[in-house]
Amino acid sequence: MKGPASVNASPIVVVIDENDVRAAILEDGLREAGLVNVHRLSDTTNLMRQLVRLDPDVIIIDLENPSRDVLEQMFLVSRSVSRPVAMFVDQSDSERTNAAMDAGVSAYVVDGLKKERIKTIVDMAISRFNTFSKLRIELEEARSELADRKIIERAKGIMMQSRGMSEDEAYTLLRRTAMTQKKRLADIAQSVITASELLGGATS
Amino acid sequence: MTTSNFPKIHLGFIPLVDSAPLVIAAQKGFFARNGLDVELHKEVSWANIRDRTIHHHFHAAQMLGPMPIAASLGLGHLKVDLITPMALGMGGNAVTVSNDLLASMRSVQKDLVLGDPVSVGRALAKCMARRKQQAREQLTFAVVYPFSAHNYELRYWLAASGIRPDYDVRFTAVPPSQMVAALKEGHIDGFCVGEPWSTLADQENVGQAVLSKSAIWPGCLEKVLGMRTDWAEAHPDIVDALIVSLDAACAWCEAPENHNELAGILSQEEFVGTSAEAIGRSLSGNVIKETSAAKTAFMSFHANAANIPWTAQSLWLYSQMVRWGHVAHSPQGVEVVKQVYRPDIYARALAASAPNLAHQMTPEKTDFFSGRFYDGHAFDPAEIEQYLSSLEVSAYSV
Repeated sequence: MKGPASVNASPIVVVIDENDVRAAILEDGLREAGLVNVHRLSDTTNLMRQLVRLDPDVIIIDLENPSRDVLEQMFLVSRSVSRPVAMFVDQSDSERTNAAMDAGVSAYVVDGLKKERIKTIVDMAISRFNTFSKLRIELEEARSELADRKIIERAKGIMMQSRGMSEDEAYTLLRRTAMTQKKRLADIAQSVITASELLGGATS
Repeated sequence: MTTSNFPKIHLGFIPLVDSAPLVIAAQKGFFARNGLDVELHKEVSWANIRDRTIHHHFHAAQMLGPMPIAASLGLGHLKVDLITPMALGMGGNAVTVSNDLLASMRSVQKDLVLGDPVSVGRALAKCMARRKQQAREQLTFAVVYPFSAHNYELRYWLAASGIRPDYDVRFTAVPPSQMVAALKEGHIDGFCVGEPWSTLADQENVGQAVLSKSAIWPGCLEKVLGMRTDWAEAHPDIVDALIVSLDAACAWCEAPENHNELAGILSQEEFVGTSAEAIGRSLSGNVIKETSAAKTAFMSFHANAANIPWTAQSLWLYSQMVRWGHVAHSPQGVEVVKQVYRPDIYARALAASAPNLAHQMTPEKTDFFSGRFYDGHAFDPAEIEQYLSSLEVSAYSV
């Protein structure tokens, strides 16, 4: 094992994340920040051996990964690594720890790395994890919006066919019903479809 | 059902058979009966349990016995005072070895008695000596988390068998869910972990349990309820309600007539999520196939005063932390540790139902806190240094 990373050499960062997309987003961010030695591990089999081989200065791991406990064993009490490790948190930095936990990420940092460097890496991990969950929420919203729109279209079709309404009239009636019943428009539309199916009516 | 103004309580747990008291207290209405509205959170790592408790995501959590001690001493993370006002059980861990290793152990020792720490330890030591002669690689044993009773028990037993942990045998950590696969693929030769993982290794025919925690030290506590000291001090009424609920849940879990139902509940995906059959076998205590004559109870949730967080227990765990170089021994450290396990709070909470508990709870008055180990060594909490010097294999003396 080598000694602490010299000030000029780029620290070795290992990202442990089973989510490839999120790991790639973080990896990009770290490279943009000038960190050229970034390794991504998605397979955590025999993790200790993999890490001893890579000899990282910083490990970023997602909180949903059970291998966090392997890192604790390896760095905190094991003699398999020669360098002491501190988690990036110190007593005064609980705000950053909380931000990391909320983002769903944790970092293990080998002693000897400059504090500013650590902050850059950890803050990047927090912000990229947050970006990823925001993206995921947006994607889910977009998906459900699309699904809602399809349901409303179908309901309008049924109403136009069975009651001879125009598209606008059908939509207005759906919306008014949703408002009076304090329900989502898509839910009312879904009940129109369900009722129509039950009654053996049009399913256009 | 009582009504109360308690806030919603969040408790963390790890999917293991001995998460049963928390699961049952929630599922069978023990929390509700004591005015508590509890939400359980299944976690994937002990590190998450610690962090989420320290950072107020959880009010309390199922913890490994040494975790509140490590946090209070500031080992491995922030130094935050945690307490344990009750233990959640005793026993329940087993040492499992691969089929290959068991075959070698049988070949060097024809009269191997599974479940007997002396016999199994002797066979393992012979195997290791033979491997050394043949210039083969050291054996690797896995634990789940460093600050755990299962780690210290495994080390205790290996050392008592003349095997030096970290030198003669390699230690690694593997998440419980990957343990059976790691054994199957030969990354590890054995492990010491809570149930149902030893039973599952046997069911999948990749290894066999050879020894139980209770054979090494019958009186050793296992999981505990852990929480921040400042939170516990600010909310004694909630702490008491948690203890009363969990104590009743522990009694429910102890009763053999409830084990079928318990196995069914724990097998659900939101809890342990492994087969009810395997969990049922863990609960029945038939984890080790052939047991020695002197069979001790594999696991107790409530019997044998399994819920009393004896201060002496925390001091033994501390002594093992010192022994293996996880912390430097100091009188200040001992004083910190003495504040972590709180039998007084346990007695306070149960004062209404068991008014004499506090008086009965001196170690001298009960057989259940037995500081005597299988190898004949006895632990006297008043003489930690003397105890540590008496143990032959130790990083302490190095």
